[in-house]
Amino acid sequence: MNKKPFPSMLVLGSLAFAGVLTGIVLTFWVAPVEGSLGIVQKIFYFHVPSAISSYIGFGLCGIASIAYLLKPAKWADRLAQAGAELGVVFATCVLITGPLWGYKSWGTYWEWEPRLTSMLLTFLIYVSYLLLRQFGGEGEMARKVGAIMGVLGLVGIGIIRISVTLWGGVHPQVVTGKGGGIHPSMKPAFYTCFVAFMVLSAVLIWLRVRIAQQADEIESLHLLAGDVEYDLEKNQ
Amino acid sequence: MKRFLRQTAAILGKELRVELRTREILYTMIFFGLVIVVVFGFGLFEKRSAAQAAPGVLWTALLLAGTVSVNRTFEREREGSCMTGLMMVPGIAWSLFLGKAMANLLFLLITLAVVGPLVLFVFQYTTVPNVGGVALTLFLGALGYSILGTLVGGMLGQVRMKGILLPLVLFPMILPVFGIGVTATAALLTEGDAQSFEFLLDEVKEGDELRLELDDVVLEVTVKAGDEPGDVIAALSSKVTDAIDRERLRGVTFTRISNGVGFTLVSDPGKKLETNHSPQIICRGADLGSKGWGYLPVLAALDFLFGIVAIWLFGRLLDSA
Repeated sequence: MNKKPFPSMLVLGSLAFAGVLTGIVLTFWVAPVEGSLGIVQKIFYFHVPSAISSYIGFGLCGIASIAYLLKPAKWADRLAQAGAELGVVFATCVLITGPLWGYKSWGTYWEWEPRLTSMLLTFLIYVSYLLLRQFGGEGEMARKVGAIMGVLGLVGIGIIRISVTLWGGVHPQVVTGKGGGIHPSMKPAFYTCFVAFMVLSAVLIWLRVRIAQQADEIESLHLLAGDVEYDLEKNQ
Repeated sequence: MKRFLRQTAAILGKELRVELRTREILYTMIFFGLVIVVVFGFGLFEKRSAAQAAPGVLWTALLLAGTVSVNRTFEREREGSCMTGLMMVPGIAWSLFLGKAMANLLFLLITLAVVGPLVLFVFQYTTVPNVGGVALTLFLGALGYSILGTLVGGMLGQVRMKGILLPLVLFPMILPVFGIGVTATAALLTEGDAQSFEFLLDEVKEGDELRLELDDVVLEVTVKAGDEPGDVIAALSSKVTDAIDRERLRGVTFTRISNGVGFTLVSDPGKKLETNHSPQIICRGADLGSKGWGYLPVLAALDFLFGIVAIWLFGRLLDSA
């Protein structure tokens, strides 16, 4: 078991911290204020990387869940849970910043539009995953059920993407601008934020997995201590 | 009296303390509320009249009523402690899953057979267009629901707080099917009738060009200086009225909506509608009616996918349990 990952963790953590800080500076002081959207456009630098991080988290959860179902190993279970938590945290960011942006650019906070709807549904699936993990009890069975849920979530993401696009055809599909390209002057801020969020995600996942690992260790130490106590009492 | 108060306070304090430490009631309750809001948002959004709400109500009824049978799926086995015995039978997973899923499906269908006509009756449908299509849509929806429900019911069987967690886990998973189902049912129920379609435009400014494409008909209006949204509406609608004659559209109505001009296009099924405006807004899918049947293969494909995944997962569940 990896007992002392601290130097590397420190390095990665500082990197994430520095990255996020640089990202903030670049976003608010260096990148230009966009013409039609104004200051609200700054959301973009955090909104998009958050969305990517959330999908990375959900993807990790799904893949680790498959791994767990194929071969039940503790690490896979911990990774799945960490991924889901990361995804939910960043999806929350997306769902908060999205409407703020949307109100400015589309004139409405919420639209049952493919991308928005799929983010919301994916978010719901993984919140329910976390509730299941939190309140569904512990042990081999609960972990297995969690893994099944994780796989279902992964399948769910795919299904949501397909169906919501189809279903969204009936509702207005809002496409702003000619889409895609960002102005060169915005690129440094955006890419810095993007990299910073990736590193931050990695740090968070790592920390979360470590916490779970140590919780398990404490648990087993407790059991051990209980055994020792029992033996001592018996010998007296 | 004092004793009564003290006892009550003690009980209340204990309840709150337990909740503060576990947070299981509030978290699950709030999330359940959120899911229900999304269910109704999906089912009822942009439905103007009571009649248009019928599909949403019908599917919501299916969703909520379904939890009863799904919840009971493995309950008897658990109560009778015969789950372990069942799992010792070699190769039982398939039969166990299929048998349970088929039973759930049957219960759902019988419920729908009662509730479906009732919903149509309550929402005053005198004739039901595409009865076959609607029935097939509901069948496919119920099929997907029972497949997923059986898996979820089975996997939550051994889990704490099963009754509360079941809808929380099941509903978000089934929502895509639900969304397609509602849309398909709405389309099928209104086919042959007027379709409404609406979209928002940002505030119309001078010099803007509004462009509406309906198959081969293109309508263009340039906004002149001093034009009020009302004038733009009038200009567009007179042009569209011409088109109505040519294309035999059902009619177009324009209305003012907050934050700009909205317009409702009421057209025959099968018409494609597109408008260009800056910022560009592309709208698709005025052809609700003909799409109704188009959703059925998608539903069937989703059911199939659910089936494959569910059986695999169910097998894993029983594997070493």
